[in-house]
Amino acid sequence: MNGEHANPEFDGLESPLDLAVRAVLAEPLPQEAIDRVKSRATELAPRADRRIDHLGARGIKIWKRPLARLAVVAAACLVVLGIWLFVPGRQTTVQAFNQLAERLVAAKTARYDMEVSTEGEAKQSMRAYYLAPGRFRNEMHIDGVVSVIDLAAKKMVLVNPRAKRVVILNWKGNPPKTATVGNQFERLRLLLSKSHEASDVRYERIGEKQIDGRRAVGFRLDSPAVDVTLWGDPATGYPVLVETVWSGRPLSKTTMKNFEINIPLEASLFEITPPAGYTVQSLDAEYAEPSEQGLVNAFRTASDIGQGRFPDSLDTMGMMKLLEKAFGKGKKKPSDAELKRVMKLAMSVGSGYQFALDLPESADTHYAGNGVERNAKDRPIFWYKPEGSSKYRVIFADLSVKDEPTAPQVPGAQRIKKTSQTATPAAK
Amino acid sequence: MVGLDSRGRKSAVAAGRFDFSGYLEPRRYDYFIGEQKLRSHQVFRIGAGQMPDWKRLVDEHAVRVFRVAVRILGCIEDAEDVSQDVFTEAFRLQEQHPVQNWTGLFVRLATLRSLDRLRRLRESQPLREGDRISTAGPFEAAVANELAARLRSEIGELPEQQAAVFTLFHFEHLTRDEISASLGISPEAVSTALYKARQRLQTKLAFLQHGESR
Repeated sequence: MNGEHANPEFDGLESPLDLAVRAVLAEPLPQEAIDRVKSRATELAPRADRRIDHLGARGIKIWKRPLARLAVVAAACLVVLGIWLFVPGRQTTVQAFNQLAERLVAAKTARYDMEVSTEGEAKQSMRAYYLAPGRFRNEMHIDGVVSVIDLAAKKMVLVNPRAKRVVILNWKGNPPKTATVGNQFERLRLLLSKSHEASDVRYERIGEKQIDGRRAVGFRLDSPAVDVTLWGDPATGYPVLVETVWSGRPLSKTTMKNFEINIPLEASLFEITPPAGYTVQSLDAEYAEPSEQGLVNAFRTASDIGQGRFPDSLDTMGMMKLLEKAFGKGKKKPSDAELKRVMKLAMSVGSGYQFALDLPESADTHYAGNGVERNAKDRPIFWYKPEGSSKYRVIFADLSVKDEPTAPQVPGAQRIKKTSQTATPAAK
Repeated sequence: MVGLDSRGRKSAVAAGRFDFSGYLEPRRYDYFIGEQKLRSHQVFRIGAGQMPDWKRLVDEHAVRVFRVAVRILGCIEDAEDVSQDVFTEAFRLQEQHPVQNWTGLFVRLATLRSLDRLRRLRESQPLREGDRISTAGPFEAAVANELAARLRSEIGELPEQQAAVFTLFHFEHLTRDEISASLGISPEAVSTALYKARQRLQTKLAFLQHGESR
């Protein structure tokens, strides 16, 4: 102690500086705040003990980065907020939902378990990892296949340890923001980050339940494209369980649980260099900026694959059928060259479709090409109304594009919904 | 802010951030406040040690860490955040390198991290009033709050070393030698920094005495 400024070298503060210092010193130190600091700091030890066992040097470096550290501090702060946000009546349902969703949107790292159930396919379960920005790793429980996505490097790497085979997908160009490259976590994060802007979204509280012995409070976001249920732990403010059901065909349900957010992760988990001794196959995929011309080109390619007929739909199911046709029936194992060819076609079609899937609700977007032959006379297959325009842009089966004063009336036309990446029958 | 490291390179480390990765030699860690190299190895010398009793360390230092933070920041929530940051950072450090002088480490981390945040808050938003601490009646509290807020605002304007020395001396009542040990600078540098800080703050706060508007 310096004897309350008794040191002659620093003799006596002059007012008003003296008064200001005294004012600061007169402020109380809330014991409850100190207790909270102690409590949270004490918890560091056992958690860190568990982590350090499997941390490599590179993982430690990640942890030491300022952003990662800040994320932890932010997370600690959110723990306090979390208690507040779940108390009924203190926040609106929308606020509470968004506060919880923010944990996922703002996460710098995450580890969780995921199950993906797609209609007509076997359920897939995996351990998943996320490292901001844009790095993902999924470890499939069956077969041990690992997929790593690095958006910055524009690569997706599939590692099959049993076959000692690696497939590297290289994206050329900039993938559109809405292209979530098949990663469910990023897809969910994008959805949640945009949900507050949507006008056709409904939020509701769905009560409480015990999940793995923990009390959880649930919220549901219901939109035409997706139904998201978030269960959060009121004691920590963190998500416990997230269930997402995407509309369209095929119906897809994703369940994420056992979240560990803003934990240190080894960079080596997201390594995209193939392991030594593995056979490597490299594929290039080109993404173009979504445009009307890109969509026209996609329709041309798709109808080529479909032997002159347009695809059934612009959704995943339609794409899968298209790929089946591209590979040809009866072929069990495509050659590498064939795989490359089909992949290129699929990417071309997919990036073309993206234009349609990015259009806003107000564009009144429709697809009516199911089974239609190319060059069918005066047959509209797709239309939308550009923003600010009073006329519709209509793509016909001969792939010409015209402005029309009204929307075409075609029975069975499918309405395309933004972000859902699906098409469902219109109510007309 | 970017400082210069011991080899004259621009470095975030030199800007007052702990980061031992990369270029620092093992078992000797230079530390910087602003652009001045400090002798941090005098503060927490690294040697072969054992896992400390973390709970005891927290119990012993939590009050001081929080107190330093809240005195500098004037906001309980921010002080809690910084405290958590400090303990997290300290824990990480000891995982890699045993720490000998925990008090020095905590004091320094708490001071510098609080000053970091004070500056960030100043850059991003006006100082918050709603969550400030008050003890007296409405008038006295208002005056005290105003004085404290003005002082904190001006501390945030000081060079980091001056701010650190001033706060440790006046808010923590550390002696010159204790500050010297905590920050790893010479006692003479402490005296100089404190003198400059006081001069500057007195000038900045003089308007309160004379009733001038700033």
